Amino acid sequence: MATRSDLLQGTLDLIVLRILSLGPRHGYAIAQRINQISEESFQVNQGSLYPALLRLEQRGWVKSSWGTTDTGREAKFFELTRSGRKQLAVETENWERVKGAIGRLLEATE
Amino acid sequence: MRTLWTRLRGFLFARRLDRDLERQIESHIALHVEDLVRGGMSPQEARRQAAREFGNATSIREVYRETRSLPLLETLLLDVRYAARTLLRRPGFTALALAALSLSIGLSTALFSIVHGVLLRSLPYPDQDRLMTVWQTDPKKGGARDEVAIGNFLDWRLRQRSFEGLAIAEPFSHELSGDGEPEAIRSWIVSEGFFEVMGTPPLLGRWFTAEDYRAGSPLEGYYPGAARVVIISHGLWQRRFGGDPNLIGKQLQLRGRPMTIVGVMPPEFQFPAKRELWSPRLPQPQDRDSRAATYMTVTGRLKPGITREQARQDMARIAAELEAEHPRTNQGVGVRLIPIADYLTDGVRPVLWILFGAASLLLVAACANVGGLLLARGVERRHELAVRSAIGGSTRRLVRQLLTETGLLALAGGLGGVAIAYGALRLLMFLPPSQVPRIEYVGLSGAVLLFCCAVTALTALACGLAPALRMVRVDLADALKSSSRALAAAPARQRGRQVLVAAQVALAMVLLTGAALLARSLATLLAVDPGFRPERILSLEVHVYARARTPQERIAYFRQTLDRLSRTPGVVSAAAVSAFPFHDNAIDIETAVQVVGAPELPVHQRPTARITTATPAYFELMRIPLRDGRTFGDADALETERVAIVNEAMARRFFDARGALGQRVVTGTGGAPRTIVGVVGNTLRKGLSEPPQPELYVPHAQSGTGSMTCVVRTAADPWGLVPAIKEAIWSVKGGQPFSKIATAEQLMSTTHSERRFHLALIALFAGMAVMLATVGLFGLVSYAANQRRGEMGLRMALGASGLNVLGLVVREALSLAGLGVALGLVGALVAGNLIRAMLFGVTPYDPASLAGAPALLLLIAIAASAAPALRAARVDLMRALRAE
Repeated sequence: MATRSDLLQGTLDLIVLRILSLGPRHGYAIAQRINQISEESFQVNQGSLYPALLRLEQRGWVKSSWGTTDTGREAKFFELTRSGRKQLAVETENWERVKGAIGRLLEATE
Repeated sequence: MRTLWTRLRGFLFARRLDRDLERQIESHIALHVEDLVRGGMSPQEARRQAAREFGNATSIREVYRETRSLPLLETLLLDVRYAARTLLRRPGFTALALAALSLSIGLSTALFSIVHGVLLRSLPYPDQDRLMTVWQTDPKKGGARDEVAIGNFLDWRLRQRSFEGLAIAEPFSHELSGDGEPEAIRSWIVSEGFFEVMGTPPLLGRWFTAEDYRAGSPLEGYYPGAARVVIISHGLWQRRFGGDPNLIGKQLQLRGRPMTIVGVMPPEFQFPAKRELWSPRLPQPQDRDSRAATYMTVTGRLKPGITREQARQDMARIAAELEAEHPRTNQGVGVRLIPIADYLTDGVRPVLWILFGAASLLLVAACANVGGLLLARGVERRHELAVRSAIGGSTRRLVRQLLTETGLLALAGGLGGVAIAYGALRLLMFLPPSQVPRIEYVGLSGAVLLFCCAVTALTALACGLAPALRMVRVDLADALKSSSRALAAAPARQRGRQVLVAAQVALAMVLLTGAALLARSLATLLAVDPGFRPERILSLEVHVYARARTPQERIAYFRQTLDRLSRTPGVVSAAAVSAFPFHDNAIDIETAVQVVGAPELPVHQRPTARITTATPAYFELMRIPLRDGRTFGDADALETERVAIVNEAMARRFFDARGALGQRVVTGTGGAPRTIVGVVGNTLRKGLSEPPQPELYVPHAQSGTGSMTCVVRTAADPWGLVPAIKEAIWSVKGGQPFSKIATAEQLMSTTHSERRFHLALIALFAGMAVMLATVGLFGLVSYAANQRRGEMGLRMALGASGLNVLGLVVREALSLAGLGVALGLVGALVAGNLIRAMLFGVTPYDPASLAGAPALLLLIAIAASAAPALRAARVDLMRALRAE
C-alpha cells in the first residue's frame, strides 16, 4: 500500500496542478478529469486525492473555498495560486527531463 | 517552514479540518452518485459504486490526518492518552509492573549516586595519580599498613629520590575559646610542604610559609602545635564564622593563645581525613629518635615520570637500610605505597561496585519480567491489535503504540525511581557515616538524574520492543480467528523464561535467608545485657590538662564540677570516668598486672587488664552491681591507702577460687601496690558481641586523670538539660571546652550501626528480589494460562472441575518456585558461610531462617498464580472452545 502511493505521489501532484491550471475545480471534478485523461490506464483511488490536495494547499500551491456546483450541491473548490503556477512550470520541466532521459535509456537498451 | 506553520495550525484546528474532510467526502460521493444516476443507474447501485471507487475512507482519513498536522506530536498525544487508558483499565498489571520498575530504577539510581559521589567524582588534588600515601608495614602488628613513626619519616624524606616532596600530618586537638562557646576542634598539624605536596589551592588566603615554621614562642613551651598560624576548613569557616569573607588575618584564641587565620580550604579538601583545622607541626628535638610511636599520615607527590613501582623499590631500599641501622625498632618494618584515590575509598570500592552490579542485574531482571508481563497481556490483546491492523493501522504505528505504553510505564517507573532513590539516600544519611568516605557528596546531582533518565529510556526499549515486535508480527488472519496458537512461543524460548524465573526465585531465597540470619543476629545482640542501664544517661568529654597542671588541681576540678552538676535541677546524679562504655575513641588503657605474692613475671609476660579511672558515684549511677566489698568513697584520696575495684571477669581470671578482696596488685611497670576493696559486675565496653574483659578500676582521687568523661543521669529526657549542664561546667572554670555530648543509648546504638546497615542493605535487596520473582512468576504463569485457555475449556467440557483447572495453573507456578527454592537453598548455605563473621548467636544453618524463606516464596508463588488461575477456571466454556 505504501509503495503504491509513494510511486504516485509526485505524479499525482503534477497531474492535479495541471488540471487546476485550467481553472478552479472541486475534488470530484478533478477525479473525473483524471479518469478521463488517463483513459483508465491507471487507477486512482479517488479518496487519496484529498490528502494530496491538502498537501498542495499546505505548500501554498493551491487555495480552496467552499462553493456550490451547477447542480446546486456544496463542494470545496480548489484553484492554483501564483506559486502553484510556478511550481507547475518547474515540475513540468522536471517531468520532461525525466521522460527524455528514460526514453533515451530505453532506446539505448534496445 | 510554511508547511510547519500550516501543519501546526492543522494540529491546533484539527477538529475543524477533520469536519472539513467529512464534508468533502460527502460532497464527493453525492456528486458521483448524481452523475451515475443521471447516466441511468439506480440510486442504490450508484451509491455502492461511488463508495467503491472512492476507496477505503478510514485509511484516507488516517493519511489525511497524518498529512494535515504534526503527525508525530498528534499521534503521540493520542498514543499517550490511549496508553494511559489501557494501563488504567488493568490496575493490577500496571501496579505490578510499576512497582518492579520503580524499585529497580530507584535502587540502581541510588547506588549510582553513591558510586558517583564516592568513586567517580574527581578529587580536589591536581595530578592526583602522582599523589601517594606512604605507610609502614610490620608483620608483627599483623596489619596491612600502619601509620608512620616520625623518626622513620625524617630518614625517608632525607634519602628518597622518587618524590618531589614528602609530608606528614599528625592528628591534634585545638581548644578554641574566645567568642562563642569554647570547643575542642579536631585538627591536623602538618609538616612544612604539606600543602605544596597536596597541591589544592586555598579558597581564601594562603598556604603555610617557611616563616610560619619558625614562629613558635619559647615562652609558651616548645611543643609540636605551638605555631602561630592556622588554616581552617570550609566547614569551620561556615559554622563558626558564618562564612565571613574578611576572616583572613583575624585572630583566634586557641589553647589560650592568639593564632592567626591565614587561609580557608575549599569544602572538598579533607585530608588525611575530615577535620576542621590545619596548623604547622614544629620539629621537635626528640623526633629523630622516635621510631616506635606510629601515628603520622605520610603523603608524597611522585616526580614526573617516576612510576609507583620505581618509588616502591626506592622506599624498600631505605626501609632495608633503616632495618640494619635500627634493628631494635625497625626489624621487619617495610614500606607500602597506596595511591591517594585508593586510600580515600579504601575498602568501599569493591563493595560499591558489587552492589551497583547487583542493582543493575536486578534492573535487567525487572525489564525481563515486565517484558514477560507485557507479552502475557499481548495474548489477551491480540484480538484488539488484529482489528486495529485490519482497519488500517500500519505496523509501525502499532509498534509505536505499544512502545508508548511501555514508555509511559517506564516514565512513571523512572519518576517513582527518583522518589525511591531520594528516600533511600535520605535513609542512608541517617545511618552512621561509618566507613564510607565523602558520603556527603552523595546526592541526586545532575549526573545522577541524567543516569536515571538514560536508564529509564533503556528500560522502556528493553522491556517494550521485543514484546511489541512479537505481538504485531502475528499472522493477522489467524489472530482474528482468535486462535490461541497465534502467539505461542517457541518452546525453547519458554524454557529460557522459566530458567530466568527460577533463577530469580533462587536469588530471592539466598537474599531472604541472609536477611533473616542478620536480623536474628541483631535481635540476639540487642538482647545482650551490657552490664549497666543506659537509660537517661548523658556523657560528655572534658579535658583539663591545659588548665589544671597538677593531679591535685585536676582532682579538685572534677570534684567541684561533679558537685555543681549533681546540684543542677533535673540531674539525679553525676560522676566521671576515664573511658565510658561504647565511646568510639574512649581511651582504653591496657596495663600489665602482677598480683603481689604470685610468682613474679617479667613485665611483658604479665597478663593485662583494662584500667579505668572512676569517681565514687560512677557505679551507682550506671547501676553496675556491687558483688563484694565496697565501691570508692570520699575517704579514698592521694594520701590514703591505694585501692582498686575489679570486675568479675578480672576476679575470675586473676584470683579464680580465692576471693579477690584484700588482694594486692601492681599495675604497669611498677609503683606501689593497690589493695582490691570491691568486686563489681562486668560491663561491655566495645560492642555487645564481644565477651567482657578483665577490668581494674582506680579512684580518680588517687590518679588525677585530666581527660575524663562526665556522666549524668537525669530524671527526664537528658537532651533538655544540655544548656543547664554547660552552665554548670562553665561555672567552675569559664571557657572550659568539652566535646562529644551523647547519650549512652546513642553510643550503644552506634556500635551496632554497621550491623544494622548491612541488615538494611541486604533486606532492601531481598525485598527487591522477592518483588521481582513475584512479577516474574505472575508474568510467566498468566502467559501460559492464557495460551492454554482452549485446553482448559476442553478439560472442563470433559468434566474437569474449576478446581482441577485452578490446581493445574497453580501447580505450574509451584513447580517453578520449588525448583528456585531448591537451588536457592544450596546458595543460601554457601552464602551463610560467607557471612559467618557477621553472624552473632546463630549458625549459617539456623533452621528458622532456612525454613522461613522457602515458606514465604512458595506462598508468594501461590499468590502470584492465583489471579491467572482463577481466570482460567472461570473461563467461559463455549467461548474458549469456539476460539480453538
